[in-house]
Amino acid sequence: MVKDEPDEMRYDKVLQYGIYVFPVLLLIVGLFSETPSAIIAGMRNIITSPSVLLHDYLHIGGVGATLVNAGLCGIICCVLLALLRVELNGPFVAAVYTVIGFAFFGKNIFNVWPIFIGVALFAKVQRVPTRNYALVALFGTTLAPLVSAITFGSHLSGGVAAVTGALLGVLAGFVLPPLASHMLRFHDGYNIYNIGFTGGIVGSFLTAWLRSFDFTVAPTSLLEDRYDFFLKVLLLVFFVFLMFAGYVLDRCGNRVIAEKMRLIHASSGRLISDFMRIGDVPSSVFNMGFMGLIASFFVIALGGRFNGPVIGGILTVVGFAAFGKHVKNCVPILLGVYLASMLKMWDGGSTPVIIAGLFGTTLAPIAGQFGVFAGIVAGFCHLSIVMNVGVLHGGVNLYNNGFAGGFVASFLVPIINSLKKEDRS
Amino acid sequence: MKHELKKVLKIADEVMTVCMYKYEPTKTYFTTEKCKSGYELLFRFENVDVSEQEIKELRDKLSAERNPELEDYYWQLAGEVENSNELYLVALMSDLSEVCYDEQVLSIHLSRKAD
Repeated sequence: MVKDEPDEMRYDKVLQYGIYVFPVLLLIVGLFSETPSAIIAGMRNIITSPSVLLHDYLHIGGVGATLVNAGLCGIICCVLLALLRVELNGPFVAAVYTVIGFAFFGKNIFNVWPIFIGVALFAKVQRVPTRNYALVALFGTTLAPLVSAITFGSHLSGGVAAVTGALLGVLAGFVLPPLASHMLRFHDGYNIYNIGFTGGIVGSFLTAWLRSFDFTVAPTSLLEDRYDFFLKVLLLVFFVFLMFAGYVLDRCGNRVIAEKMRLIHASSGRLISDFMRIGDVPSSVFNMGFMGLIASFFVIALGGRFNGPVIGGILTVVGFAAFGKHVKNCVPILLGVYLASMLKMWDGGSTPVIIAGLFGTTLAPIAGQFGVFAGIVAGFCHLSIVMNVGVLHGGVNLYNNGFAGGFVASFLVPIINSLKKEDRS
Repeated sequence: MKHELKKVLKIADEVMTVCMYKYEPTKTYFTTEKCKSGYELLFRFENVDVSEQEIKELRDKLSAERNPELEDYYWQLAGEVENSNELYLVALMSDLSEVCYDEQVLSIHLSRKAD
């Protein structure tokens, strides 16, 4: 049988243009939320911040500049994918939303480029099309703070710092593609943020190297809760819009959204679970909106505030709702993190615990494959691990939960596999 | 293309893992042929009970188009997990697929063109 995809083909254009909706919305809202001078000053502050975890851009640059930065970062990704003629699917939607989410606290229109260049250079050296590593390039911006930390947060002087930062960023981008592919075997695809794990390894390596030259690279915590209500309303409206858009798209097409959602919910979420293939585009868009509401509800229920990192966590869940996450495999992880926060030393409503829950859904495939109890255990373990691994890379790896998730998955999955009864299905 | 033979072996590993765990055949055959255009892979699982619905799902999973953008990143995952039930990765790594089921024999033919 020659492969063809008649049903999916109809949604190509929808996805091709639809992916611009959210970054353009953020850009427009950002431009109208503050004066041009405030936005320009805010952008300058964002670009010149070290950007390591947790630098909330809402605190550093204000809401207007942060939304403009997030919108522009998203548009840059979409344009790059279009220029490289990448066929959009669940993984790329997840990547674009992840970049937008982290553009609230770590990625900006300055520090992502060296990573892109490094990945493109690797493709050039390997003599393969750059688009083959486009996914790694987008997710690889997890190490973007490495560029900012050296350029704007080190003891080096202006020009030397900029060149060193850029070169380190290019180096990080260059080594990511082979490492990212190899690291998949460490956790067998049970940690969805695989590049978070890879970035953690690369970041730890480079940070240790930098520290031996007397560079100070350490996590910090700058958070801003002032825009909680405004951002809460903006996001909740957008998530409802996504659900409505998914429903309307379905009504225009196959009218099988319930059936497609059943297929999505039956998936474990283990890499690689492209819900735009397992289900279809409308059901994936619906799932994205729904998961956005679930993630927002989790934050509100725990008494959390919508600041940069929390919004990043919510948007990452939304993006990965096209690539592995659904209500059945995420809720057990959220429950596990919540239970852990009740029994352990951390405040359940604090930003670190809330983002541990949101990003902890990187372990959703464990719940999807092995059941609710395994998912709760994974979430319970995840909170302790994620609170302890950040120091290794000094906060230059933004996907710290992906780093921690790799350890949790590789620790738990072999144990669960050895304990479960023989199962041939 | 780099790792070409290893990728072919990974495809074989994934198909064998999925089908042997799921259908429990009493005999399994795998042949591969290297030709000018690439590799042909033929799998044959004997004495298996596969429903029409399962055949439809198998064909559907294997019908996804080859996708180098995902293949170059994810190929190392293939064949790694004993309880995998996804053949999507195999589909992303092959250009043509054919699934036949007749008299309790399941045959899968995959073709992978060299770049």
